[in-house]
Amino acid sequence: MLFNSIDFAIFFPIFFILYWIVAKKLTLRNVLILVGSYIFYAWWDWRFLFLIIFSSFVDYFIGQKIYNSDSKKSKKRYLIISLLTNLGLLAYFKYTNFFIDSFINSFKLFGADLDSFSLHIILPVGISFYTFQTLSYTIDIYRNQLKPTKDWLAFFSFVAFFPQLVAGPIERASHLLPQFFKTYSFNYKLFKSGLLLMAFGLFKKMVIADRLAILVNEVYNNPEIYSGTDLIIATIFFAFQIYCDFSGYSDIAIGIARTMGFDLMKNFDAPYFSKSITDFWRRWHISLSTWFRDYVYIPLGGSRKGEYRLYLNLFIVFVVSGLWHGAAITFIIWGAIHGIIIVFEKVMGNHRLAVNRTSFIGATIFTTLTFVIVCFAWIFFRANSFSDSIYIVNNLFDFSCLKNVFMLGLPEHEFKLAIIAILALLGFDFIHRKFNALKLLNKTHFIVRSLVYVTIIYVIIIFGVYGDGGVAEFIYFQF
Amino acid sequence: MKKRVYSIIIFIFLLALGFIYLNKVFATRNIYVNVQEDFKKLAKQTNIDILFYGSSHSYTAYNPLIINKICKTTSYNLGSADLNISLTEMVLKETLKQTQPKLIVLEIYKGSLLKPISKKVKGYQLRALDIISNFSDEKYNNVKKIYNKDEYLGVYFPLIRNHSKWNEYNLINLSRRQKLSVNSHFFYGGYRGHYQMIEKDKNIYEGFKEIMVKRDSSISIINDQSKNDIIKFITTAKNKNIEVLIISSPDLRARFDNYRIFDELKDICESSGASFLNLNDHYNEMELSLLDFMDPSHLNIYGGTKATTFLAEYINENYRFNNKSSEASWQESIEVYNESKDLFVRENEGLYYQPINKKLLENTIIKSVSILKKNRKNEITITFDLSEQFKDDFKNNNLSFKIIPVNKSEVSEDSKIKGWGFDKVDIKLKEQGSIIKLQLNSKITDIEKAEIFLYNTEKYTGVIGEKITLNDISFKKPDEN
Repeated sequence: MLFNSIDFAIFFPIFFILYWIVAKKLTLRNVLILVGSYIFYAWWDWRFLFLIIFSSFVDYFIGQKIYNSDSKKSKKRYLIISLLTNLGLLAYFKYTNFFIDSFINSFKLFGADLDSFSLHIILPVGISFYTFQTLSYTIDIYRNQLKPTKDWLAFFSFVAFFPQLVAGPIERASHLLPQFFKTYSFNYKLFKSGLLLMAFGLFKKMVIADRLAILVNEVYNNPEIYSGTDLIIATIFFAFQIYCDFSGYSDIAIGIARTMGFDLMKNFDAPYFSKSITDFWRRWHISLSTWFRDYVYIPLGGSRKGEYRLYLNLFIVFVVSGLWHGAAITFIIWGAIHGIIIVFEKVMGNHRLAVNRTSFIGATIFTTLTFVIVCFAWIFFRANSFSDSIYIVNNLFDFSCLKNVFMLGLPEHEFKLAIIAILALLGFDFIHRKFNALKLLNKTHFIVRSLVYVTIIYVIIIFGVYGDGGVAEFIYFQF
Repeated sequence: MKKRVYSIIIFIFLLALGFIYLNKVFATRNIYVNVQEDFKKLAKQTNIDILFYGSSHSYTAYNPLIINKICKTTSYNLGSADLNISLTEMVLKETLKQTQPKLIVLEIYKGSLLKPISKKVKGYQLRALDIISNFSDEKYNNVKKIYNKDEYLGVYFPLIRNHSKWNEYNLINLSRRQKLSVNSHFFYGGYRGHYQMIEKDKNIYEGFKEIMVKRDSSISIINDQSKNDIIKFITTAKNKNIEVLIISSPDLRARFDNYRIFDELKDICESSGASFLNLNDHYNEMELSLLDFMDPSHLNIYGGTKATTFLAEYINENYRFNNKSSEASWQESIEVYNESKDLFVRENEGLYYQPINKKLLENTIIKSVSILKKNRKNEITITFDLSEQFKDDFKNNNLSFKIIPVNKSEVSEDSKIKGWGFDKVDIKLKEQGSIIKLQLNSKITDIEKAEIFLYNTEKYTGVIGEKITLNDISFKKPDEN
């Protein structure tokens, strides 16, 4: 089920009413969350529900075993079983064909021509997200940072919690799981701010991301017929498309959870105002970057094993992060570009720069420079193939076949609306970081507030792109 | 707590108000709105004795002005493009709330009996559905029959349906009437008479028969559902003591390919107490020629005049109405008839038709040009072959059509004052489609050549793109092959 679908518009109010009817009865409430979450997931493909149940069962059981084991060796053995099971499922469903292709291609390098073949494997929606979430549970128990729960219902609900099941935020058990042991009273303020966040997320997704997607898809699906200007415009548009798509999803997820009394972690923090790539990763997909920090970077040694090992560790983390995003060489290159720049920033960190990052001029220069680098890396992320990405990079400054920008898939009025929406979003991000927009809104008269809410709803309805023959899926579902 | 309740009430009130208002802003503008609004206006003035229902085959053929004149009564045409028979019955019920006709003429063709499947035909059904209240059970039942669940919101709420065309609406103008171009067709009483003529090609037509098209004439079109819908329509009318005449309009394809439908319709009418008239059996009496068709399935204004005259005489012979010639509304319609009757028939006509297939601009290709000459009036029809990007070409340009005479003294007084050696007509291409109609009054009889070209809408700064020149313009009688 998609958040921007009619199905969800019917599902959520029903679920919401039932939820608050049983909210004070903990077991019943968790049963409702679990059943609701499984219905939500099964709407896409019920067969893969068994995968979530299996993954939940394995980690619930192994969590207990790790905690109850006396020896370090035994704890480690159980942790390895958890890692192999979860990463094995992820590797099978997500990376099998990539590994087969890479294997065949590496033979081709040595002149051996093996017949190409691939398995028809469907990638289960959200597998990358819930796998990482359950892994954090067993790893934290292994590190003695968390006690396992004996309440299977709470644990299964934690794994399948529908607001963040398919595209995050990737929650830590230490933060989310305890919330399944508490009952909540209906809080009007939380409810209102949750709805507002959901509306804002829908605005980002339907008004901005899906509109930009029309142009981006047109240009990136046929890069050879477009000029450098067109490729640059499409890349900039993609930067905002993916931001609005993914942060929009996160906003909706956090908003839904908030209306139920749950608190999910912040996932984005105005990333395109970052003054460096290091800063960017503190603001972009925060739940994933902190996951990699805690469960990959630190176990690799972090900064504890010397300067060069630090650089290597950083680079490895970003390459793995690229691979997590997709089973293709383009994603690895995307991760590697970020890794290289972050290493570069670490190296340069010890040197004084001619321009101060905190001054207005410095901030503008570094924010622009960071955005340019991020956009350059997005080329590899979005391109349909490695050869397409190379073609695009080579032709970025080829202005020989200039076209009218309104011929790129978005007619003039839609193009202008897209630009206005992007500027409005950047303006909002800028203001929101300095003054909390919700607090500002709450200070106004309730008629003004109501008018703002009604306007947001109708802006989404009027300017939203509903998709041809249905609603567009969120980009991050594929990861 | 009290404040919170107030704020919720205010929010819901504003939300509802916004919804009602925006549904009015985004209401679909189409010609059926004009048809319905004019119908209501007329129904308030007088009882309308003859009502036409059906598809585009009805509204392009039956001219109420001619019916009114011959039958001395009032009539109105409520035909709507590709309207499905079950929706027609719903429209019948809705319109019977406004007036109490004595005769209902229902035009049926195979398209009205098939379940709408294509987006376009489903879209046409909305014209009728829009006049029915959203709270109607019957509307819901019909919507269920025709549309998928994911289309329901769009069907019921124009805001959802038309939201993506936000740039075409404005927040102040709530009128749903469509602006009509007098050049493209004649509109009155629900009738739309088109000037366009079927593209003649000796290879395609043999007499009236389109020889290239081959269909299986044994396929039955009327399934049980459609049969029930027709009977339901007849019963609804009969229950209100209204006579029903079911007709099949002149349709070249139906005449040769789907003849079985006429026999089936006749059987249904006989068993349900309605009359049936197949106009496809009366081409000779109507004196129809191929040039009376705008396309293989629709009559143009000249064919419409012939068909309406024939039908009016048939109605006069078979049905009785009160003489309304003393009523103001009837007299008004006769005034309009007298003013417009020249448009309905060909007089001293000459026809020039030339396939062109040349580019004016990259995305704007002229397919053909025809000039229908009636005394001094030249009705010019330019047919374009447009690629998807034509709107950019059309948006910024005007089209000019120049007639240059052999003898310069033939140009109009206006042209002489301006020092021109030609007569010309211009049209803004913005909002025009693939067929444009121009009217040029000129006494030029001996044409040396004609020129077609584009120029900038702001100011004439020279020809934009290519100029197309038509030499050897000679007119034939329209009936000549």
